Amino acid sequence: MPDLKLSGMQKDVLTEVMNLGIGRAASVLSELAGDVVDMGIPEVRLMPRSKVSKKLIAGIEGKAAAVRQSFGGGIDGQSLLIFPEKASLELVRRILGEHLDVGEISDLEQDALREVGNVILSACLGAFAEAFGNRIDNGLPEVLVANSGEVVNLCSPIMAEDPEDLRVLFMEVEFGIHSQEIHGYVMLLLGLAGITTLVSLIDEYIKKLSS
Amino acid sequence: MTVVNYWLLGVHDHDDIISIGLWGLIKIGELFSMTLKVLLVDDSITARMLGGVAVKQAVPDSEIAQAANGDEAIEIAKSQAFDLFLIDVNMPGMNGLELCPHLQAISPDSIFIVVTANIQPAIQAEVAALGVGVIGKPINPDKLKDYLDSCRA
Repeated sequence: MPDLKLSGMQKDVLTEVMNLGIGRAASVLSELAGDVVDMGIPEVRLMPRSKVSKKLIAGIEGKAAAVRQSFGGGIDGQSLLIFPEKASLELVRRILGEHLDVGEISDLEQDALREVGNVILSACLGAFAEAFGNRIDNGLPEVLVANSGEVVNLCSPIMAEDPEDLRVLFMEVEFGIHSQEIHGYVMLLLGLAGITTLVSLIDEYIKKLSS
Repeated sequence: MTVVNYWLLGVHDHDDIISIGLWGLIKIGELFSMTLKVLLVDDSITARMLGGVAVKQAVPDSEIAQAANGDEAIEIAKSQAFDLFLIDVNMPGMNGLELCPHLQAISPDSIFIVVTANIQPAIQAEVAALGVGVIGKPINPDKLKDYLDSCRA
């Protein structure tokens, strides 16, 4: 695969767009949790899949819970929201706590996590669609629970491309809900075609900004 | 309508006590007839539960039924009348945008609102073409109330 590196300007645009998306995600999460939600992303990075697995192993001890959603319509790929498994249950408790007792929350955990993932990932992809003027269609969200290093590998077979060609737009995010920090990751898994389209959309966007 | 006419006669032709009593009767009648019947369509139990809470906050006098997919929604809509349909877009099988025309054919006078986390300009345009409303997920009770008020105006 060609060496795909984003220029400083391309990276800046991506970070800005993803910040808008994360901002929207924070707003919807705040409505779900009924409290102020602080969400920040330090930097957006484009990296090979193998490096992402290493980052996840370093960042999440033990099992991770992920919400995966395929997307298509110009840029095709998969979006992922990944948390430590323990944090995902905590997040669901924050959202459903006042409506349900502990037993019911446990029963609904996967469904609630799917729904939370759907709103957060849709907010991020919506920012992409709006900035770059393309339409993005989301597939149905799905919950995966696996060892942290395995999560991204589980998504690879779904992509029609050689796993070695897959690149990940990687964002570390911090959610602060009810004074508690929940550390998670938002990722877009893209193949060569998806990356190429994305880069050309970013370039068009930069051209529009500069004209 | 009969009750309203009777109350108007009461104002003009009878004393205040009778008028107040009949006014109370009208109010109860109005409230009863205004119970909002809602069908929430979403494949997520969580979304239906949170949606139900939001509807109750926006319109306390409401009765909420639920459907987990498009086929179920059509079946329920054929057997009961609803004032308002709140429909998720991203569902297995028939999606919310495909479902809308079926429900509109069954219940043409109802209010239809598509509820989605995916509020992109292209999706909004598609929703507008169907002649239905759209609100973002999670449902915000104030936004729902504003939308319903705008439909009644």
